[in-house]
Amino acid sequence: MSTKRAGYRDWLDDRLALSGAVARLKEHRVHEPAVEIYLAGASLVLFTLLIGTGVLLMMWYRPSVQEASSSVAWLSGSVRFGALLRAAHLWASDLLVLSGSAYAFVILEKRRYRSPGELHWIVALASLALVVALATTGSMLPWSETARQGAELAGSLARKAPLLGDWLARAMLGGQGVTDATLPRAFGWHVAVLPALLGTSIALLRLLAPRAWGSSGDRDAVPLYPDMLIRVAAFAVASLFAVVFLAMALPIRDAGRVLWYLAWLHVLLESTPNRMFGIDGARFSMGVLTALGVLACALPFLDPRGARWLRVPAWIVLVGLMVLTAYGLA
Amino acid sequence: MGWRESNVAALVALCVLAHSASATAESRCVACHASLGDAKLRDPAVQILASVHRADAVGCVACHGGDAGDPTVRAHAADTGFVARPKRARIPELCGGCHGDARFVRRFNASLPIDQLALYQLSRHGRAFAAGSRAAPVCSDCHGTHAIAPASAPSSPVSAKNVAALCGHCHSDEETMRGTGLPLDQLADYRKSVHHTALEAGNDRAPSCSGCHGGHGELQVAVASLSHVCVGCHRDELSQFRDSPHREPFDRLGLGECAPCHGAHEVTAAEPLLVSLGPEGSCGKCHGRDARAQAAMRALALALDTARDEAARARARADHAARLGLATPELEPALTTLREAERRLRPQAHRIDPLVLTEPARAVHEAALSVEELVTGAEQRREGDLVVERIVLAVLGLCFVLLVAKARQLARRRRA
Repeated sequence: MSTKRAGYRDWLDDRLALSGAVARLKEHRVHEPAVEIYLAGASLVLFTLLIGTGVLLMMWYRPSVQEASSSVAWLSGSVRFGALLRAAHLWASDLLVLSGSAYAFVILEKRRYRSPGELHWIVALASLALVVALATTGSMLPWSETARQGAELAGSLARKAPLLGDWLARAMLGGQGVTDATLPRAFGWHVAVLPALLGTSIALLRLLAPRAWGSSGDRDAVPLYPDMLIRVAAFAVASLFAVVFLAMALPIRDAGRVLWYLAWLHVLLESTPNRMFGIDGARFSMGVLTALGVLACALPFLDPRGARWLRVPAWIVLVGLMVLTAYGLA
Repeated sequence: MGWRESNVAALVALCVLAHSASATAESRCVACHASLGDAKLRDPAVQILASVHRADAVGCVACHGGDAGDPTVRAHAADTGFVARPKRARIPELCGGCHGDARFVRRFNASLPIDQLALYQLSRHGRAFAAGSRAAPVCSDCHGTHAIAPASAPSSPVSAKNVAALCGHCHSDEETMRGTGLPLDQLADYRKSVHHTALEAGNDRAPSCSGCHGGHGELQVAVASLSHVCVGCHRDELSQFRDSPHREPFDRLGLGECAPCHGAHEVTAAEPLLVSLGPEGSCGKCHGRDARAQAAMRALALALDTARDEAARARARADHAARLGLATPELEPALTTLREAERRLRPQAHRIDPLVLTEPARAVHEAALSVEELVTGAEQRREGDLVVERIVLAVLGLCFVLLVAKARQLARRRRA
């Protein structure tokens, strides 16, 4: 029996070169706590779950203004496990926004954007933006009152962005405002363009991550395989458990969800004065935020050694965002 | 006025004067009056900006006269026809001058009626006013003077929700109503009615005073003609009543049609309680302890009670299912069918014949049953789903425990 199993293993190894990959993983050792590795594992599992539940949801969902709402109600009320499927998709997307944000924060806090992690940092930020865009376009799909309000909010925020604001809003909404053209546009972005881009960026992250995380020659450090992989698997299973538990305990009403992850931005723009330095206050704020985003992407080149003092503003920004989000939701 | 306020007023006046070259004639009145320190002269100018008669559209001179083209105090000269306070006796004609002119009114609001003055002159209010009564109201008593809001605006005293308080202000006042012979408790009665409850609950079609009495052509509704008012909304009920055994004796005794059972201002909810021989019901007033009437009333009350309870239970279960996220797409049409069945049942009660109620009561029963079956089906499906979901959760929990145990074992081995 064991000879037979060894035969299969050799057959696969000849074609996939698995033993070489496993050997490389065994050599790669990381110091604990390797939070970024846990978060990467959880994000990958959540993304896979989102693809799976999303494909299933597409079997019942109808992306037309007349039928979207009723098809969602049909799915939630009449399809076996339909309510669970929808709730799991939405909770998984919420958790992916959280885990993606946490991943980016940990990279920043541990200064892993330093060489050779520059590209990894930029792709991680791009992935986070894609996750937020996916969640936003997805929230429009039930085409309920809440969904349309969410689309209005997202459109108005996008419109304030500098230079490309109008183009961005038109590309997202399919017109100047929320119309019947918005739903098919959001559907197209949500099920084709954005998942393809996010899938590509996650694959890139997988390629770039081992070098960015760094490897330790210290014998006390934990090898990626099998120790770290088992722990990451446990964390990923815990994430799945959380999704199923939340979907069971807090099912999604047909009204849909508020865009909680944009609440901080909404509060910030609402509290901006009407005019600042002779231009529209909200446009000015979005300009500043966009500039900060560009600076964040350029951080590895502006701060190649990773200054320690940057950790303090990183924590201040994190706490500030959490307070603004809580205020916006309240 | 302190020196600071004087300076501010002078500055405002200077700005206004500078602006007046380009300002329209009407806004000159407002621009100047808004800068005055005396509230009696300033407030009307501020209020008219928020009214339907805002300065640019109708303007001050329409009511006060004067020369709006003159930006100085000469605009108020006697030879310009300026009137500081239009005489009360002239107010209906003054307002009607514009509101009765179709060509003028259509410039601003194509749907506004133009017969208010004619109706007012026909009404008891108008006739009392023409007879010299000081208590009779004129246009401005109800609509206000400068801050006139559209009747549809929530802030308007004549809006659906405010008009009862407006009418009641005079109609509950002993001094104002002396000599009219009208009771003072209409507002209190109306506030006990099902109409008031429905209006407060947000039903815009529920009537207030003007809903039955009219707005400008307010006429006292005689008890005998009350049904002509009620039929505006309750056509089916009146039609069934006219086919009932009550019609002939009610006609003979001159009781009218609706009021003897339902009341006039204090219209009670059409609950089965109404159909009873007890002190709270309407039937005992005429039938006393008549055994035949008692049997008929019990049968009617039973049919109505049963239908109401079945519908209420079905609706409660549907609401509960919706709160749990179990509302199926079929549930809404089933609830609509139930509402329709209930709507058909209530008018049939006016026939005062238990046999007539049999068919519509069965329709309510079947509609309620259909709603409950849908809810039960959804609940059973949910129960089945929950079992599977709990198993999935347990498997995930077990996997987590096993993986953690394996990780700990590996860690122990590595340390060893």
